[in-house]
Amino acid sequence: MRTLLAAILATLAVPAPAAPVPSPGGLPPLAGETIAVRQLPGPLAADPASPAWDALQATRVLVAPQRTIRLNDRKANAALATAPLRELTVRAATDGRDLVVVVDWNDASEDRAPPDATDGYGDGVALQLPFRFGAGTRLPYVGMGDEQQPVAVFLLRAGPRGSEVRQARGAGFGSTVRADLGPVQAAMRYDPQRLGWRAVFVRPLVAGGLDLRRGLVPLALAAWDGGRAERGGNKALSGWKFLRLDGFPLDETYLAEQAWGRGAGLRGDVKHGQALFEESCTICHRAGPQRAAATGLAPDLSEIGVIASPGYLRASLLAPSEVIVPNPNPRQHQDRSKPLAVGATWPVDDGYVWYAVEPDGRKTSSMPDSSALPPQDLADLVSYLMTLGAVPPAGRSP
Amino acid sequence: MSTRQLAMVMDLNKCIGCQTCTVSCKTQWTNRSGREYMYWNNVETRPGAGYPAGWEQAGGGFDAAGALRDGTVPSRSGAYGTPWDFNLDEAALGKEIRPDSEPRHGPNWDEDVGAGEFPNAWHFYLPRICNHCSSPGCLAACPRGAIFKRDQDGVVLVDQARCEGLRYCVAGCPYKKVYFNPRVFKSEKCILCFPRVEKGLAPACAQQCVGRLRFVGYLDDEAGQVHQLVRRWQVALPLHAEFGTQPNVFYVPPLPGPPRFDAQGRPIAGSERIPVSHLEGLFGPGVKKVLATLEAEMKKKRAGKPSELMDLLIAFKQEEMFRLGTPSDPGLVQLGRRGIRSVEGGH
Repeated sequence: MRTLLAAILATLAVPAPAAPVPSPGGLPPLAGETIAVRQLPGPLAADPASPAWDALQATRVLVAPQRTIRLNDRKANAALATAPLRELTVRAATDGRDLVVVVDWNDASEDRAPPDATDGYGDGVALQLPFRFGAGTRLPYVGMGDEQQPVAVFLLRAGPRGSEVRQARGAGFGSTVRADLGPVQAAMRYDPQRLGWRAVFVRPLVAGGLDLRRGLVPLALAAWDGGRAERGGNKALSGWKFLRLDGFPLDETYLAEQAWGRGAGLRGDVKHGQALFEESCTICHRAGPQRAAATGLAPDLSEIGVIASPGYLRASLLAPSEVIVPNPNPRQHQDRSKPLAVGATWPVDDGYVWYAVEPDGRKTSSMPDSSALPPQDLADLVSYLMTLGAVPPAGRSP
Repeated sequence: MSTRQLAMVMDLNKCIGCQTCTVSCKTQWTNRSGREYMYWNNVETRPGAGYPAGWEQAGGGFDAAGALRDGTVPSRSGAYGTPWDFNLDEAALGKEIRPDSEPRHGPNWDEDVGAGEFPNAWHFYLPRICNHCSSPGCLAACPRGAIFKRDQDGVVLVDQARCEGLRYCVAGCPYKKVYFNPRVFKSEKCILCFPRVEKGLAPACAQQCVGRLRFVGYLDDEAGQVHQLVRRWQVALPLHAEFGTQPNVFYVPPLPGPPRFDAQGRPIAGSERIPVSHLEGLFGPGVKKVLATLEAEMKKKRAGKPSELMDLLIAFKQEEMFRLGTPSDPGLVQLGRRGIRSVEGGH
């Protein structure tokens, strides 16, 4: 280990900076969305204590408390009511064989699920990567993927003794199945001085159905604060970011697709977008202080500006059935509108099911198609949605 | 949600609070591997905080509009109470007997509490297992779809392969009958002894019940006691039906007991020892009607007249309390040597 670190350090011309450096311009259309992946001599080891990682270029990634779907833990929901946007600092490198992703974040308490407690939860962090990506392939739904676009998830969790790494395949909320996605090393370490965690994941560029040997690789992150009773869907998550791998071909078409509406590309009138939103969308969707719709009727959009891209929002408006958001457990809403016969069971309230399943298995979103919307209105609406979550809206309740 | 529903009726007038059911369940299922603190079956004394403490206020279930309510996950050191042991080896050598940790709560913590002042004190016992609800709050809460209801008997189970120990089910169950096992990091619960039921044996808690207060059978088995008591006589009521989960354990409420005494020690005619309002708080507005039916049938029996309901509740033969087969083949449970001989020898 010592010789490896020496070898890594020897290749670095600059001394390790103390504070993360914000990413520079980088890839102009995706500025701020890319994480530079530098070439390092291998082998790479998942050692959070290694000083080598500090020399890598750091990118700040915002993670928003997950409010798209609501879970039922009173304590977690009370914490969620005041949960701020959080920030992860992400670094990455490759030796041509393996990829290393280093994640730092602040957390005032080191939470580990205590061995005998029923109500203790450990801090954690996860990486999410699509199995398929590239020009012409849309990104998976950011909340654990969707049926058409499954995702690979690498989860690291602080346990009573050390940390536990898990690999899973996801195709929607609550769908993850543990899977063998090839060799992975991961470790997390709490620094009581800095009051924060550092997690390091190392896995091959090619393994378990994932081939990351490309110039632009989508990556999303999530973090859990055990002290806020966060576990499962109660977490903070990022939108899709992009690993920019040095020395691998960059597909300009894919870059252009993913850059749609980002930076200066989206010129919408936020105020008009808000008016349009309040006129029709708030009947079903909640978003920040707009809470007229019943909980669970449709995805809560409070953080949509942090977790979605303009391109995704445009696609959801133009062809909702093409980007179906997986339904959370529909049994959370009983239909009490009809009298109940003796021995019968309350039926599921269809109003809370986000799509209809056609006889051929295709799903039709309950969201109306907005393809008739004038292009400027569409841009205004997307511009407004991209502001949601960026600044915590006032007067929010869980 | 299931084709058939196996259900249980507990006649609270017969419960003596002996905890034999609790012990039979514990030795069968929960005395090991991280389950030590769990009581899939517990008997709590009313009035009291119950087990886990304050479960009735811990949320879960559905609101009046049919939406899942938020709930809490009880703490092992708080609402459940950390299990403690006594220094019996040392005590045998003359040392003072003491627990190895400070007892703060536990199953049947309220045993000696009760309510009212002598001579008008009152209490009764409330045995509780998972209600194997028709609309389970735990099942609705699980974001992973790890909880399911078996089609053949409606038993609610946690798929241990799908469970990731997130505990939303614990919050979602208004009866707090799903437990988190911190050792294996999964949720676990009463399984209505389905491996026993599949072999024609009654759940351990019911079979071992000294007071013969537990009837087990399918709700659609019209000849069965469970159907008779719940549907025909309508003397068995679900616990906290307002939680909206449609529970399938039903209770014959306790009779309010002997009348209260006045200051001179004379019985007050028409008074209730156990407040009916307390029973209504547990079993809903149907309590008065049930009590009236019970009184009327008891009166018949006292007058030497036959009462089908009283005979049902007396349960002369324990094997008749358990019908685990189909309506045409009720599958009476065979109990012990007498039962086996009656099958083999026909007498």
